[in-house]
Amino acid sequence: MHRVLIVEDDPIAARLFELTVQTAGDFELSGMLASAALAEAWCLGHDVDLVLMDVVTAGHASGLEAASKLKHSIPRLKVLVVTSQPEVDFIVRAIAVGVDGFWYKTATDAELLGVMRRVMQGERVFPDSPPEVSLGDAFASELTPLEVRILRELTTGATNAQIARRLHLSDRTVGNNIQNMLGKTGFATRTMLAVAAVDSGAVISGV
Amino acid sequence: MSPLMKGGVDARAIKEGIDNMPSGVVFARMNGLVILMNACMDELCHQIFGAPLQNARLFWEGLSKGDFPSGARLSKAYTDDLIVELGWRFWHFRRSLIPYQGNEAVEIRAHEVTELQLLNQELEKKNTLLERRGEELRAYAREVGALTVERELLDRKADVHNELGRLLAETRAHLRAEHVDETALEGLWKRWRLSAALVLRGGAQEMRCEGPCLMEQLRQTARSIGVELTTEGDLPERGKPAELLLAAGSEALANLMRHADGNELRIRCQRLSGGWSCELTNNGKVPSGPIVEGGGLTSLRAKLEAAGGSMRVESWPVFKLMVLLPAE
Repeated sequence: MHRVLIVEDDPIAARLFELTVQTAGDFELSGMLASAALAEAWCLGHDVDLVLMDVVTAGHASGLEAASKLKHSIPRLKVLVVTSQPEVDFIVRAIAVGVDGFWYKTATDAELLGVMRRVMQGERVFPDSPPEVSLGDAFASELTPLEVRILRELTTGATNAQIARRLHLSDRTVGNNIQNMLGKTGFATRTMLAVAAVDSGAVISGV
Repeated sequence: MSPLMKGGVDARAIKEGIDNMPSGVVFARMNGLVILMNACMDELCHQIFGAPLQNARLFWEGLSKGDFPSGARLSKAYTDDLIVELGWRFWHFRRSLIPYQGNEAVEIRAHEVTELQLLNQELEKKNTLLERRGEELRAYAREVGALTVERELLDRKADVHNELGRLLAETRAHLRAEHVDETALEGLWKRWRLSAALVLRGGAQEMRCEGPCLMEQLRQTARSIGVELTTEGDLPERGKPAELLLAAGSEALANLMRHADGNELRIRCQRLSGGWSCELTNNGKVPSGPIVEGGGLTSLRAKLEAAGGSMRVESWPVFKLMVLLPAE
């Protein structure tokens, strides 16, 4: 029997996951938390085999950051990250921190149980790519990794100098990359680009 | 005879040469007595002070004070650099010391920097506008963040209701069919149970956990692993300060579990004019040495500092995590 910790602040999604675990014969519930900030403490004090964790959780706590801590503190623990956000970078970042699986939320549990079982059997389960998100004339997947990082900072209203400082780049590099993104997307200004990125969910800052 | 005189360059020629310069220059002794000055500098002094330049030290002091009878304006002032707006033109005055006859002399130069100054003013205006746009974008992102959360919840509710609609149609079709497919019916029944459980959540939490709910989750998590959380003072209850306190409390709890083997965690906060000062302590083992900040504490520090707060960790005589949380 595998013990599952659910970390999800969407009450409906949390209930769906809870029911999925409770009706599956090979899983049982260890606990339910709304914030990923609490995941490590919970897992250090309870017997948990699998963590089913959202990326953006209560208190703006990042599921990816929590996943990284968990994989470091308790390497045997399996972490399955779930999200409904089409953020262009989540899959890559999830793989980089060593999570065991990644799944896009849907209304039914049909796929989820299968993914959970595959993860517990040692398989690393990831979708091929995130959902395509339009960003003006381009898709978000057409942006380079550096452009995505800069765009994420841009959506916080930061100036080029502030972005450069945060990402340890030169002002010129930041400026050039923003110009490149404006060229790809067809937006006339950085503000229009940032608003479109926020609206579409292509990048989410602070996660 | 000086090398210049040997080459046929006399004082008059030097004066004539510097008088033709578009920039101003004056050389003076340390007491301000003028050694050499060009026409441009003299003219500038006339325009600014309404009088000829007779003493360079008094000239510089007058420029630095910025009190000009002519209506000129001191635009920027540093120790040895001044920008003066004269009419529609800008002049950069720079003072420096040069070796002269075994001692030092003062050199004051003046260059016109009108174009550069106008560009700087344009840049300042654009930066102010950019700052304002940045603020608007930050506020927009916060609004969109909150709206996205609400929209997700509504989308999920809509999905559940759409699934109910599909179930009704499929169930009707199966009931009307001539032959009953047991496996399909079993699948339908499972889906009905799931959808009913989602719709009839009963006492389950309707709203997302925010503010005081987060601290309560920390308390419940601590209790579930045998740690009693006590809080004292004025704790932030909403927004960024509450989120940061949750992050600090969670990290303190995880550290207690990892290293200190205690069963009490205390959070004491005090409201300040610029935010909150909070102290997190426990009853676990005293650290054996100075705390080396690992991933968790490093990440906490980065979050706090990015939000305008700060963090300090003490390991003697007891472990203490002190955080300054910014105001909302």
